[in-house]
Amino acid sequence: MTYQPIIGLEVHVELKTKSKLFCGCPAEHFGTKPNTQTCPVCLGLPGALPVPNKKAVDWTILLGLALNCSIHKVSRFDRKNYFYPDLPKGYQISQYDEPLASKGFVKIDTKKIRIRRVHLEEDAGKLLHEEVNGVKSTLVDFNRSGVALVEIVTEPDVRSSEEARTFLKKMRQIARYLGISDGDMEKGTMRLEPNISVKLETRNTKHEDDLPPYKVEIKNINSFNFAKKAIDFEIARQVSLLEKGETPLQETRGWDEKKGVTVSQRGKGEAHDYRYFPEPDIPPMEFSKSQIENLRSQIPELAEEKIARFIREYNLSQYDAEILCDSRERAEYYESTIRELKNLRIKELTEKTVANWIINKKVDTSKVAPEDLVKMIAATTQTTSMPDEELEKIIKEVISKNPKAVADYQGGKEQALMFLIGQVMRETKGKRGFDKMKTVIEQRLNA
Amino acid sequence: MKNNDLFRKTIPELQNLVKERKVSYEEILQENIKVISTQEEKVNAYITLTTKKAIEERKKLSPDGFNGHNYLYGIPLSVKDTFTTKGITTTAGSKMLEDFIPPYNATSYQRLIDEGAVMLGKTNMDEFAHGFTTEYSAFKITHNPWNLNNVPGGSSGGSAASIAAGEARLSLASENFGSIIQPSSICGIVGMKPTYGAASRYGIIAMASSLECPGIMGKCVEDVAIGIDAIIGLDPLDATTFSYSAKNFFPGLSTSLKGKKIAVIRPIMENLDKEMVKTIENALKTLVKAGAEVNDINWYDLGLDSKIYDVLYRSEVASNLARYDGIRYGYRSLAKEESLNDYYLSTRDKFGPHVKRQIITDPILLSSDGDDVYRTVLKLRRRNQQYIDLLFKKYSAIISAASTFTDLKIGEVAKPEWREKNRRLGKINGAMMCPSVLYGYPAISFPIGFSKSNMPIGVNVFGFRCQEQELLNLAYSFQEESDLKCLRPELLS
Ligand SMILES: [Zn+2]
Repeated sequence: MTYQPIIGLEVHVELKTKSKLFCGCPAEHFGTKPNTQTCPVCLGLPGALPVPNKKAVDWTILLGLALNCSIHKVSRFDRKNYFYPDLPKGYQISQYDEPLASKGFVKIDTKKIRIRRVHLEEDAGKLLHEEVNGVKSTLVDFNRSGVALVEIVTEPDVRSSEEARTFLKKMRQIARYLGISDGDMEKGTMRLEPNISVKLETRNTKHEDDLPPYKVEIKNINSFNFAKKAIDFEIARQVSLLEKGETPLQETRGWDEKKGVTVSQRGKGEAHDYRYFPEPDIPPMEFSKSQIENLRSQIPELAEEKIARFIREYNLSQYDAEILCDSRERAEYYESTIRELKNLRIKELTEKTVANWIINKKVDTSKVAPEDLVKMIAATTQTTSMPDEELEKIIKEVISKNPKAVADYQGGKEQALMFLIGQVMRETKGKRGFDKMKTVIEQRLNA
Repeated sequence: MKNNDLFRKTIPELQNLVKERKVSYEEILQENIKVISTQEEKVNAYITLTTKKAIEERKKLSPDGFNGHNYLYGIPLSVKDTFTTKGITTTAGSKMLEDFIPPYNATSYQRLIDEGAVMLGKTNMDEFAHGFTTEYSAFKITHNPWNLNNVPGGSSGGSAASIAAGEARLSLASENFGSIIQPSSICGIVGMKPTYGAASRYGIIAMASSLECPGIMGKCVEDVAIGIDAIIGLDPLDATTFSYSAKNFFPGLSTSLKGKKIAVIRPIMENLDKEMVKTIENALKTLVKAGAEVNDINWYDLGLDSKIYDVLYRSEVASNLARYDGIRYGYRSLAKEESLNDYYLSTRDKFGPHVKRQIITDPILLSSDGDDVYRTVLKLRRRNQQYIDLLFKKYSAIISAASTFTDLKIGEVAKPEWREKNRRLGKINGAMMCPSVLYGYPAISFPIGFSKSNMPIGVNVFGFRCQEQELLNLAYSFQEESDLKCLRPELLS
């Protein structure tokens, strides 16, 4: 007899479109002054009408395609009616029974997590609880109101907190590769609401389709670590109830990070009846085959394919390829250095050496040009052909010309050192070895 | 020229007079302002008057401002209080919005003033356009200029009365279940709603904004054609609008109906009172004289469209009004809100009784068990639309009545007798008013005669989508033949 966690995930990803989903207000709201990015539409003023942002629709389809979903020929927006102070219209424009995409899957390691649906909706405002003139008050900031949000719902295929976390990271990676979201849980541009139940597994009941008669939804999770902690706590809580012969209640619980527990928020009896109906202010959206194929052609090579190719083409280990492909920028940087390597015809360096360098020396890819990096690596393998005095002179010059990098290094930014080495490399043209150069620069900087 | 003479002039005639320097824009404006100052307290057409602002704006006009196309240049305009007007209170007839000053203009209003129209004020209406007599405004009851004891119809009753009384030249109103067609008919003026999506709904406040469509009211077909020309066109702020290729309705007006086939919904005629039927029959004869062929057609269940309408409308009402939750609309009637109930009492107190009833009963349709009703209705809607679309393969226009009554006293609707009578007429009314709203057809109402009690009678004609010109030509042909044009209530002359 074992307890099997059954977990379904709802992931919200905020799109980084220039403007909001239904109006022209800027979508970037993090750290902006409250209520400075609003208009009649996102404030829900009477008579104002929503006009869908084409980019947001396209990006949702792009994500759907990346998650192996089918894209619907006809899709439409619906109204989800509920009352909350951060929801200015008294309803949220979302999608109900005709989402943009559905029935996909994502592979994590060798396992497939099925995607039930991917839909587009608007975000709500934000409530701020503050004291105003000595009175405890709740204030509303509508800068986030109407920002485009994609909701991804999985089937209950996840079996552990670790799998959930891997799935989340994969979601973030795909969103970042597509360039449609930062997927930053701390900033709230990616949010997770897991549905958790626990099934008692005996030899007789081992049917995958049998789901427990209840599920618990967890809210307020805003980091990858909390996601794991909250799920683990909830599984343990439910198991202990089941062991006492009780069935956990179907309810919504919130993660309380301070106490490290989940707390009941809303029971089933108080469940919402959202009274969905088609949004009459927006005509249904129709997509032709060629439109969808055109979007499909815009999907870049994603991490999974890239990793496989790196292993194949560059002879890298799975581990190295995964690290290089963790972000699209780093993977692309690596490939540029490989191109430089070929351009410069440096035969003694292998692709694997370059990969090791990027991984182990923590190269700041935004500061060191691929060409410089290759020269730098090449220099480490070369012998001395420049007098020490000349090297000292060059280093002195570079240091005086780059006060900012020096300050950065002295302020603790190790990566600034690589930048300075790069600059020295340009001058020495590979005539001095890397280690010697590094030692001299460090001495100068720490003097 | 004496002001009195201006009443029966059409807008193009006025522009010519200005061009010839026989009349000034100042005189045109003052003609309406004078009526407002003497008659408005009897008529109550306006919720908010902006005459001072209008006088200032008029001063910026040049006598040579009319360039042959911008017919609305210097023309006094009234605007139903459901259209948002930047910096000018917009109430939608509700106490809830008593001090709402929108920071944005409704697109249709913007287009009219862009052409040079000068607004005199915001007209009275039933609260959130829910009603058909303008008695259910939170502020005042509008009286019919043809008989001050009568209602002007509704919900655009203030707009209709402002035109009939001569308190404006043209009015921007909105149609939803006859809200332009019926008051136009009762007040003896011309009213038109264009094809759904031809004119922008941006800035219309209503219980069910998606069923509202902007339209124009005026004294004659020419004026209305000019107004429709101005408001039509794609609006990036309304996703349901489209780019209308063939406009220029006013220059396109023609009196010939040769070869045109017109259908009359016979089952509706059978249910109307005799005087109305006779007047319509006479009007049909005039159309035949102008070259049209008139045929009777049958109809599906007369009550069906109003049932479909009811479900769509009700689904939207509670949702559309949910935003008036007291958080941003500053009205709180209780000083202390100690419970959730106190909070609801305090914030929703200012809704009128009709609106409250709608908010409470409507969500039931959409609750989880009501879901099938909505889907069924959508299917029926598609089926009926196909039926009517097919009729338009043969006919260029379909005619029915514009109102089930001609002579309705203020206060009568609330009486039990009226409700009893209305049970039958309500069904007919739905069949008359719903097709244009539910299926997006353009519709026009124009005067065709008078009742024995000397109240105007109008007719309701709707046509295929984007066939506004056909409807305007039909109305124009009748107007020119009958000389029922720029009618003036004797009471006020
Ligand atoms: Zn906005």
